Amino acid sequence: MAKTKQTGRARRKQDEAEALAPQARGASASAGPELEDLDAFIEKVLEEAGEEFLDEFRQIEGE
Amino acid sequence: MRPRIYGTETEYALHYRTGGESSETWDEEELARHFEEGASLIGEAAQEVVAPAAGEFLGNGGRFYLDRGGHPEYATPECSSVFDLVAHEQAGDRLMLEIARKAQARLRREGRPATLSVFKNNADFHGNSYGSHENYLVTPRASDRLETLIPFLATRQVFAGTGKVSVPGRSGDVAYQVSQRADFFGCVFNDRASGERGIIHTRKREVHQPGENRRLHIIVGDSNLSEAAMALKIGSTGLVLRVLEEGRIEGLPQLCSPVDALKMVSRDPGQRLEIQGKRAGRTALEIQSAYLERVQRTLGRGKLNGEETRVLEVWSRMLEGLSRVRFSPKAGILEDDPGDVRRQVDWVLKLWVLSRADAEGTGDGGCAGSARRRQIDLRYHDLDPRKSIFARCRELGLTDRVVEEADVQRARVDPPRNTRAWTRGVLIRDMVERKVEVRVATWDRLRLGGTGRGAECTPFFASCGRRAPPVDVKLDDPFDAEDPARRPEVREFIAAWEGGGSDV
Repeated sequence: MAKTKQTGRARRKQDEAEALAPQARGASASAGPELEDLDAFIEKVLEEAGEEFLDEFRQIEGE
Repeated sequence: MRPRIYGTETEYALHYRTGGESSETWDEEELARHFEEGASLIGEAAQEVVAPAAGEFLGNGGRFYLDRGGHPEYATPECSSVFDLVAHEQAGDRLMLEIARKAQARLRREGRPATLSVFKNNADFHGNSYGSHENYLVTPRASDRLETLIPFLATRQVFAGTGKVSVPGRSGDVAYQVSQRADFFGCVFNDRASGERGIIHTRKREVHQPGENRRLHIIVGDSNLSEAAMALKIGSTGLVLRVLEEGRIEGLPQLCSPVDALKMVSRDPGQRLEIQGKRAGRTALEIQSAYLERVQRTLGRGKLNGEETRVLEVWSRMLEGLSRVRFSPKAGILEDDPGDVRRQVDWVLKLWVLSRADAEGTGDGGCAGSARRRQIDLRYHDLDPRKSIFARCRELGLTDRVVEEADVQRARVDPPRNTRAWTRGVLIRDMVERKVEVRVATWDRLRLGGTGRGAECTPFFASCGRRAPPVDVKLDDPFDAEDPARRPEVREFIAAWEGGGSDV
């Protein structure tokens, strides 16, 4: 696992660019119908769950 | 070569939504009452699903029960093969899902506007954690030098972590962490499994046959969905234990601050960790490589069985693949994964999914800790394949499998062949068929007792009007996989029972 070695202004600019428009080469290197299926599946699951689900997902401490 | 026994315990997260007030505003007492109600539904549904069983113990040799905090828990039977264990852990996931569906069906039948979901993860976004525990049978010699394992255990999250979207303000300046559990540990050894948890849990370490076997209980791992990660987590730990048992563990890098290192690796696995007696630090991958090399040098090919050789090869390839993964912990995105490590490592696959969703989505998609990202994180771990992102990835062929689906189905029913789980499971199944009540108090004791008038009867058994003197069956030897019908005490009990001499 490696991080890109940059310093100062260049790194800040890079971080900002990543945060605003992540391009994730590793994530988009392959394409195909299965990836379209996965994207559609994720969008459907997120839509059905609703935002309140996150707040409601509260657990009691286990072991 | 001495065989090893492995087992895991998985605490699931229950989400019980009643349609009323949001649990976010509840105090601890209200939350506990709510979970009690959800857990009770699960408990009742389990009665219909888990037969044949003897109380909490199942015909496949495992155990299903409700643990602290209303978490349903599945403990696998004792397995002597890593790949058997992978099948059995997933059998527990299937069982849990089946029980949750049964409970949900009941809610629907009764017209109650409630839903019930189950997740295999280890943390919510409110600062609570629940466990994934591992058990290994080790020699007393290994048990006395467990501190030498700590650098390995603190860094194996690089392939065994399941990943977590950070909650803003709780995880420093990183948007994504490698491990779900790392933040919840306060010391190296402890006899408590909550509060200040220790990487190694020291309570209940004895098993029968003192002087021969000890139980090593590791509670620092995440609950894996990836079969490959599950196998590598258990298999590599088993290999390192072999080196320890052979007395060849000395000289490996020891961490100055193991608990800090655990958390540092989770936040940024590329950073250097302080090592005792060394000026230069080591990365998590360098520490893992040191352990891998020691295993290769100490055990070599001649001393390894086929399964261990397979684990060693996967471990070696994994560390090489991980060295080429590029990502930004701060932005929480995957930049490159040329070795397709995501096919085997949960935290990389989840990060890949998050990065895809950021690129595809709109709105707040790219913001660290956004609701969208946290939803994806949670849904990765949903056990229901209709909502589970991991299950969808597997269905689409985006992850590697290391066991056959048929092995998982078989593990749902059959105990492993080479340990005392076989005796336990077969005995439970056989006795349930004969309408004999079996009580299993512990992993190493069973009591066969006749169900009769005045006797307490579990819902699994119908009264059949017979009685026989109860008998205790001891399972002291963890490798005792004898056919239970060959045991004299069991034969005598069956003869008395079948003979009907004590009819009531």
